[in-house]
Amino acid sequence: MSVDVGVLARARARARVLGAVAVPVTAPVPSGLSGVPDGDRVWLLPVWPDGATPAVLEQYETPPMPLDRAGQQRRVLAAALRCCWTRLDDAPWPGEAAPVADVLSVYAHLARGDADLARRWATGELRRLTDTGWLLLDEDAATVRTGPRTAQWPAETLASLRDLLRRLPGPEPLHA
Amino acid sequence: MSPARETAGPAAASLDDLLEGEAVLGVYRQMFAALARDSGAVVDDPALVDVAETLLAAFADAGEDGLSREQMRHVCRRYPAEVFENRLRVLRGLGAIREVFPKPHQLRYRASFTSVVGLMFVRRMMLDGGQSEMHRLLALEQLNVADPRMTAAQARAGADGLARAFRLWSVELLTLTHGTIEELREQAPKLWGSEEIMLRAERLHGAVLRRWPELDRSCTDLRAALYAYGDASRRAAARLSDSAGTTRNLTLLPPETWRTFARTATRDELAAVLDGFVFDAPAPWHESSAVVAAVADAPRAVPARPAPPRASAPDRGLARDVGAATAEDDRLREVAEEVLRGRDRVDVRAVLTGGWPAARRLLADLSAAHLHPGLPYRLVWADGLKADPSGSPTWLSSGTFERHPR
Amino acid sequence: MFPGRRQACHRRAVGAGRVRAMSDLFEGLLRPYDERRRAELVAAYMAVEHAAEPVPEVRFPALREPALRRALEEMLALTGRTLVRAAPKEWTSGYRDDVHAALAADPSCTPPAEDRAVLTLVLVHSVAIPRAAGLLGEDTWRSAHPAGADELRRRSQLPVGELDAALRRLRAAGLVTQVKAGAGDAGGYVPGPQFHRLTPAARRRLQEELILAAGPDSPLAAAVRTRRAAEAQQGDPA
Repeated sequence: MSVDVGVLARARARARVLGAVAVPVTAPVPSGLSGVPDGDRVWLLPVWPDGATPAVLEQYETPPMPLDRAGQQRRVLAAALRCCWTRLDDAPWPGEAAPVADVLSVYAHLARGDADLARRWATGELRRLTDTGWLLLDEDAATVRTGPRTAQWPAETLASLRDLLRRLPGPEPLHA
Repeated sequence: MSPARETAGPAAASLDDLLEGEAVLGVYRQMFAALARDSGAVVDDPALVDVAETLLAAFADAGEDGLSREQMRHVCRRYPAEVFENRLRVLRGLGAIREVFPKPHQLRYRASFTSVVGLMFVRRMMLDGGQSEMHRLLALEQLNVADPRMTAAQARAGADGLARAFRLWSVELLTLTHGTIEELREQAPKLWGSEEIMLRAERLHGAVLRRWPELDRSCTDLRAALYAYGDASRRAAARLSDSAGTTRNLTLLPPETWRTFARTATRDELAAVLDGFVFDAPAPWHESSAVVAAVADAPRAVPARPAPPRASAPDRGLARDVGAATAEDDRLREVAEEVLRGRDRVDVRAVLTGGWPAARRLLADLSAAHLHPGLPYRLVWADGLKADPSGSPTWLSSGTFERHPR
Repeated sequence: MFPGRRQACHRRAVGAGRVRAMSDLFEGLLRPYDERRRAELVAAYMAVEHAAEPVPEVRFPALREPALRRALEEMLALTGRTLVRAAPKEWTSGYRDDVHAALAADPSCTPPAEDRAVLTLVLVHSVAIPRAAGLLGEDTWRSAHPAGADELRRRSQLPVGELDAALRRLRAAGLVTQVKAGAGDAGGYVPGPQFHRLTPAARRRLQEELILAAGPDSPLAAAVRTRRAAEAQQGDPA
């Protein structure tokens, strides 16, 4: 039993190092990690006590890891959600794949200045959001989906996000 | 210096002996003149040695004309007059500075070569407490042993001297090892032997024994002293290693060793240091309310943009699919901003540092950015080249790369 | 407000159905505590795990009170983590030493060689050299003497492009902190807040690795090798 605990602790620690890790759906999900199913694979994500999220830090005036251009990254995430989370009554995960071009055209409403530059910044943010499990970018197909981390959002905290996405203008009809 | 005087000879010495004794004392006095407070004792303020060094350096520059008294005072002008006078008196008294009369009624001064050598030796000892001096001594002895003119007596004297030095070092190290950790940390690197010193000493020992088997007793002594020293070094190192703290033991390598490592190590050698280290990478958390807030704070494009003409062209979106020309502009902009790093101008020489091929590529990019009408950068060249034979590239024009307001 | 939210979250975890195997990992440890204590433990847990810097115990009762701190330590142990004291009365978390060793053997868990090489350079310039020169007071991997960007570019064997890219990644990961150029000084890089998360054993090992690499011939390196060989023998029961 104690050996088992050590192995489990290691598996949970590994999930912290690697961020979101996917394993085949046939593989067992180590207890103490949440398995977010995704077709033939399962994403392993950390479990936090009592459903808390890192947002708790705010209540204690404790800064989280600084994030470069956090606002821009979150606006790109919002644009992606606008395109991928189409059935807003459901949970954001797993969402649907949407063309990157659609996401960029939604994002254009949220950015100012040189349009080409904004698109390129946004593309960079799509990649970073994919690295951290918030989105899944398929560069070959030029599509994007919501990432497994959105499954960690407590359901009851999503009302304002849903409102926002309802208001947000959709992608240019050209691509619809 | 009084022990030297005692060994200078008994009363019944011949005139030759006396002269030789005086000559030896003369060398001693000159060697340590820089450290002498007055003719009878060593300085009690290190700044006094600086005066001597300043003077000796000025003499070296002056050449065979030497210096006049006024010139000496001038180079020592930052020292108080009485300090200068005192130093001059002592240095003259010990023969480090001599009066010469190149012409009648003209008084000049010259410096002694021995004093400069002595001072160099002293400075080196102060820098690393005899470590590198020991390297030099061992290297010299090794040469001597190979010299056909070397006699067995000389070899024995050399071996005995080294054995004494190693024994004294062991004693001092062991005393330190049993003392406070702070003192040990400060003193040990000046005293303990690196593996290289031990290797050299053992090699020397082997060479002496091969050439003069009859010196086996001296060699046994040297070997014992060497082992004792190695053991004392290990003990000191073990005690320090056991009380390492987080970074304290980094003081135990001299800064130059660290610089050399940083300068010469390959990528893999550098990376190997952190082999086996795992660092945290907690992914950023975007609370859903933070996403909402970010959109609310968006720098909205106030006048709704009229649809730009090219928006009708289908665009698959990713960077590599965007027109090649704009991609190139963007790359140049990236290169330029990378070079400027938030500043408005940089010295071109300061950024062209990555070896010639890399420098040439970067220069080409900076020139392209300069020539590009749509990009707010320019290269401004000044006259003149700066050559740096050790650098790469070895020469560079001086110029600046700057941002200009559009 | 926090306990109420906690219960809501529980309901979601059970009811959402999408999240499989959402076990009550911490329940066994948290059950004995009343609502307030429980919320304090959870807050301290999230803080040491997610804050950028070590957190002061004055703000978190679960860090202040030894009994709670012990429970917190057990919570962290469940995920291979441990409490690390970064300064008197300041705490963060890091990998337990046994877990650290196991993860380090997994190449996907360690940074790429390019990043490790640049990080070593930053450590040498911002910590080892200033410490050897007697400029650093505190015994930590933090430093007030940034490794200048120019110094890193000019005085190393690493290609500039590789170096800059690695610095960007290291900065994003909290492994280096960029110090902006001020009036008169050029700015540069110092070890980032992640270095607080190294356990005492890991910090010591980092120091030893640097000494072994830069001064392999020094008596200290010999002492390190000797001790490690002895430890390896002891640790080998065969």
